[in-house]
Amino acid sequence: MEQAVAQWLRHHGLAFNPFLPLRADQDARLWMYWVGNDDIFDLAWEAQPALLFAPWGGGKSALRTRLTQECWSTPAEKRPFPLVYLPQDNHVTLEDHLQDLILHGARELLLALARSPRRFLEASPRLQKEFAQFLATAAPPVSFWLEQMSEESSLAPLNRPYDPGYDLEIPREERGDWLSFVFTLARLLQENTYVPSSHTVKLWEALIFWIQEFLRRPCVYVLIDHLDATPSTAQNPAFIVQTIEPFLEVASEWASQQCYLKLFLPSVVQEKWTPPAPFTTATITWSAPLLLQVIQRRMVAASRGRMDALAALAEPALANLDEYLIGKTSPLPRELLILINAILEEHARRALPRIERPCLDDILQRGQEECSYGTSTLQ
Amino acid sequence: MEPQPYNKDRFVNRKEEVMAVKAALDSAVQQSRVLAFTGPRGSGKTWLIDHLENEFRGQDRIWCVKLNFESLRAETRNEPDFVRKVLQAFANALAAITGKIEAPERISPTRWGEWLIQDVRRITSEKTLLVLLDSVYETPETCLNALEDVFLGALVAENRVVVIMAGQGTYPLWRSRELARASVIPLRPFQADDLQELLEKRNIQLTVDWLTDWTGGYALPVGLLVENPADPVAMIEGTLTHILDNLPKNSGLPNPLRFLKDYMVLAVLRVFDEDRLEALGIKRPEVSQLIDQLLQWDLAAYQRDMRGYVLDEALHYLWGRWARERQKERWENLHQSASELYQKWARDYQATAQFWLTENAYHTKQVASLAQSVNSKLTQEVNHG
Repeated sequence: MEQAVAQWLRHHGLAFNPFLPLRADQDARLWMYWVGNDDIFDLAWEAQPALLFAPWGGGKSALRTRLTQECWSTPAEKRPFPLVYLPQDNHVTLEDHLQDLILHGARELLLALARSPRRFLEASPRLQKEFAQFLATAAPPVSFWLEQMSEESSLAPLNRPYDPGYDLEIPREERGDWLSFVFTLARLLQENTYVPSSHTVKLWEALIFWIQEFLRRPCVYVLIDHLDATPSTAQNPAFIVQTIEPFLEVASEWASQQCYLKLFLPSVVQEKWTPPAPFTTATITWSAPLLLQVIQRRMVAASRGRMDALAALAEPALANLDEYLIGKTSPLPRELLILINAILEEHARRALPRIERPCLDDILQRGQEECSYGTSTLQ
Repeated sequence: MEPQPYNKDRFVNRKEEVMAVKAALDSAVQQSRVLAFTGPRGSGKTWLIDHLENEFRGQDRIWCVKLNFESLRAETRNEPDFVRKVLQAFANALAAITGKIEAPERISPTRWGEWLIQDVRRITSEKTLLVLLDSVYETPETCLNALEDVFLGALVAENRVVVIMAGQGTYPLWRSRELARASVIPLRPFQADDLQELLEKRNIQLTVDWLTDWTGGYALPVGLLVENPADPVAMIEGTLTHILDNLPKNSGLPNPLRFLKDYMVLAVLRVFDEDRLEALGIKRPEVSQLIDQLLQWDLAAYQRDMRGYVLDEALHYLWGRWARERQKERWENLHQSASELYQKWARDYQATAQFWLTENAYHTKQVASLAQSVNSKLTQEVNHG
């Protein structure tokens, strides 16, 4: 069905289906059409610990992904280093979390260096060797990753299933540096006999050091999300608070090392909990004008600036389609995107030339039976 | 009929735009600034960029670099090729400023971009760098994104750098927030006092009302008409032909005049879509092909607040003015038909009735104004003789 919708949209002049990615953190194009309050983005972007609240489907992961993409934008040396962490629901101690964070962080660091290998190649042999020792301890599969990258001539083996934000292809002109990086690091790992301390706190501090030393990033943002995504934590604010408690305790100390926590929390937590210092807090809220922008920016991106409304794909009777659909859903972007996708799929399935009222009414009728959006017709 | 090259003695208007650039330069010590000028064809974007260069180049505390992406993207094969051309042009411009920067050979675009940023840092320790970029938005977005990754993103994040962009169409989508959050300033047509200033500067005996009526205040036809006011209809026809002749090469438009006649309905409707064009005489599937073509030429865009596609503003005005002179009867009939269509839609589609009534009022007024104009012309003729 995805292909049928894409073809239907292509016929209308859209290069892709901009409403399809229902999970923002799997959407490589999010930077093109992310919608949110600039003040909240700016607050989240500041070098300070922050708690960011929103209901389920209310844009937490979208904000996190947008922040991550911004961190990966040019110029790298002026951007924070993003370390995305999606905790497991059986992790409750700092030790548990740090072990995962170090592995994720080392992998991200390797990916960043593989994209800018000169940072590594221009370092002294001694520093290169120490870095290899760190990697061998922090990320034991590193030799395997390098082997895969070398075989595939690509950064893809280091890719992860969330926050796509950059190109994994190696530019032709950079290939020489990249190969030198891979082979030099692989050789150093083979030669490595010294095993540095595997104490997690020391390794964590070492990770931060290497991010600042090799990548020359001014600071690190630890972006913690998906806290309401697991069976134990969903609708269980007490468990969420328990999960993040270890981070709250170290937030000030980490901030003094230019490492800032950004926690993306469901609104239910906010209702029953007083956030501690030094965190600043913000709540993501939605209004009809913002939701109109959700549709508008996606249409503009997919049509290369030629259309700014879904109504462009509809018959004249639906000239106010965008506003109408917003009135039919609860004010959350995910629900709106689900409805629009249902509309596109049904029109593509019926091979209708454009969005038409009878078909739209059918979808809304069915939607009312299955979920929340309503049934009244336009007139 | 070609646009005229910039001439500072003939430049008027754009005082607010020049002030905005000056304010950006004044505050550039604390932060970098990006300003983006947008406007339809013939609205004077290139003249403004040239004027800014003329105003600020050579000022005590300002370095100025100007690049035109139209010439840089000509005959480029791919994104890296375009990026290299821009970097080369920028490096040449820096060399002209300092007289001592030489472009390195055999270097990757990424390293070249970093190297240029180092040079920018060096020269901005003493002066602010003003970068003027013309014809930006017409550049393919893949080229712009590649340039952003390698150089432009880093450039706009530097202190004491002000980047001014201009181009036709929509301001592009950028990844970095410095570019994405640019102040976008639409260029409005010349107002009465601007035209008055122009006429006084040139010492031309025309009235502002006459000039506005024929040109809509758009810079390109204004410039052409003050040069040769004898035959305004021919001037408009020449301007329209120039616009249509300069569409992308593979446009497949064999005869611009034929196009103007066949699709005159586009000059009559303020807003259009397939249904409206079909109701006013263009058959399917031709109507879909026409809209597709207009979109590809960047001559039209769908606007939600207008409830339909809107033609390039300047083109719409001039085409309408041409149609009113050259095809008076058909022009009137089309407005009449449009008015009847909107009356029907207002009855049929009550949720958006207010909008269709507004459009109906516009077309009714156009027909009335033509009748009034014919009447006053006739009165003049009777009185004279």
